[in-house]
Amino acid sequence: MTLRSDSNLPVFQQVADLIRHGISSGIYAPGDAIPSVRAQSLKLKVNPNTIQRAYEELEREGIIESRRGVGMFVAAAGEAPARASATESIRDAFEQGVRTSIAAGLSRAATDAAYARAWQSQRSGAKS
Amino acid sequence: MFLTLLRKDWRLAKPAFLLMVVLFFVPASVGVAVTAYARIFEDKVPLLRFSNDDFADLLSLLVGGGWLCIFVGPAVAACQFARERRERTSEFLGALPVSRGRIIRSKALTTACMLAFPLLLCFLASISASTSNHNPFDGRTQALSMFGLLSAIFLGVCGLGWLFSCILSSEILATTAALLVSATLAFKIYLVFQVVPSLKALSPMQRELTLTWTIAVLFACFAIVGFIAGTIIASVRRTL
Amino acid sequence: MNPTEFAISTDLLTRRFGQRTAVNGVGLAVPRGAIYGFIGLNGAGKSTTIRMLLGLLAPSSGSVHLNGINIAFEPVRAKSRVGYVPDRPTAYPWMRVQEVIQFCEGVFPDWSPTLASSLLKKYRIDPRAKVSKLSKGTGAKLSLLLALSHDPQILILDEPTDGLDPIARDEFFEEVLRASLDSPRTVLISSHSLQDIQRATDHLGFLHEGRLIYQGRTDELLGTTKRVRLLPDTPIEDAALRRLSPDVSHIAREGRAVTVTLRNFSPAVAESLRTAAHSPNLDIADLSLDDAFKDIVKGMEATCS
Repeated sequence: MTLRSDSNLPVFQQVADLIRHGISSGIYAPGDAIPSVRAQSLKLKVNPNTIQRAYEELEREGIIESRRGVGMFVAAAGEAPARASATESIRDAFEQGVRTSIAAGLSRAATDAAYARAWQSQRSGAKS
Repeated sequence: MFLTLLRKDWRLAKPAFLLMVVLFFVPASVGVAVTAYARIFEDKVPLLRFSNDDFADLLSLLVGGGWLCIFVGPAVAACQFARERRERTSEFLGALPVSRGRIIRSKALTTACMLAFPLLLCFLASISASTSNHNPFDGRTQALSMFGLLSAIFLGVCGLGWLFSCILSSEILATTAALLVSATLAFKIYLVFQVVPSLKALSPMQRELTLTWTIAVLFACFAIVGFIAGTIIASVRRTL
Repeated sequence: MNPTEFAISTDLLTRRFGQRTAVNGVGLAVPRGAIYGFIGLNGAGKSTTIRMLLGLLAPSSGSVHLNGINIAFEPVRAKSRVGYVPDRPTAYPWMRVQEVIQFCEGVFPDWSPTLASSLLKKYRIDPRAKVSKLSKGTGAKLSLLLALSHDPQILILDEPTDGLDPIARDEFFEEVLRASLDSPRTVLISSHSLQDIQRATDHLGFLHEGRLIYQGRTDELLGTTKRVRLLPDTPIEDAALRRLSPDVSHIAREGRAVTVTLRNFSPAVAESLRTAAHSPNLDIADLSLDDAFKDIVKGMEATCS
């Protein structure tokens, strides 16, 4: 996992998203250890304070928990909030798409059709 | 720490120094080769049977090597600051926790030792040659004054090399500048002796003597001014 | 400003070259333990400033304190705990790697031979190689090794990744982060690779034409610099937008859309822009450091001319 180079989001947000995505897509299961601030910092070439800030946000959301002296772990109930924030970022993406659609003057049906096509092409891509 | 700096400065000027040493021994080596050739193929006598006269000739050739060193001596002096600047190692050196004074002292000591080498050998050669009964210099005083002239010119040119090394950013440029300035001034003085009436009136021998003395004193001044001014410039410059 | 509070601090640092003022009244304040990104265009005065930090160049006026020690008064003590990585290797090119290391060992009072040899192995540098024969990436790593092996409290890097390939650059930034993580150390790094700077630093100093135009936290600069996109009903001139707020930086136009880059962003200012432009909608977007840098520089140039 690496950070995208074209993102305009704050870096701590990008790091938090990376962990959320990792959890909702099964790379990290509940109870798994996630990389320490130090390891993550060296891996992503990101300032340790920024990593710390991302982890604090994830902890506040109940996605990860720290066990004193051991490190950071995916919370037992961490999957749901991770999915929820994934849903949120999906909503952001869809809203962007819908705005483009409206601005272009497309109908609801044309927008739905475009969505269905996108779904199909991504699904078949994922299976193969 | 000072030893570390000395070793570095020694290696900095080593190529120029070695060239100077080689040049110093060139006339003597040629002399030995020619004598040896004559011994073996013409006189048919054993190679190593050199006479006292041969030795005296050899010693005068060593002094001749000293004259050749005048062309490389300024390069030895110029290598210190100018080479560091050209190779941008002055930035490296400047960022180290070493005081400017220590850097300059190490460079000055290295240069002094390197320049003393041919002078010392020339001095010994002059002295020994003047004591042999076949003296190429006509007496000890003559030998010593020749040595004095040689060392004045040598140190004068080297002093200019050191001065230019503290100003310019290339040792080649600094050496060339030192040689050009020296040659121009020596030539100017020679011209003055050809045109000024009071000097023209002197007998040829007296004129030669005065010319020699003028040049010796002038270059001795170059040496003093060059080494002192260069060192002062190096220690007050805003960048190394 | 109390200079002992900061690892690096300068007071009204100025350097003139003839008529040109390359560095003009710069007051750096680099907190202890920070990774401080020093950014600016070519010729903005970054290298001149860095050379003055190290005493390689005397300032025309102003002062430099490293760890609270004035570099002009006690240069040897100030520099003894500082590591410097220049933009290209400046170690003696005719020495072998091993010889350069021995040279530095003789010069630095706190040099650690064990640290140097472990870094030599880790960076995979051949100790018998001539310095002049090293590749760019290896040369940069040698500079880093020389700068780190005396366990400096301050590490100063001047465009260290200039001309390195992407892999070497990545490795280099990793080593810089590691150096900062391994011990309480302050890092000041200047670079044109702004994506790396955005990720790796926590503080920024932004130099423009010799003046420090921003100094503070990296996330603060990016959190308060936003792009506001307007679709004005009636055309509105740049000057009219600039009159609304001194924080209007760069103005870009594409078709009917006007994108205004705002510094010290506040919703109130954005709203006042929307009202003035009679724009029905208002898009507010974050910027990467790269974009923020370009917009601020262009904005400075637009307001100056």
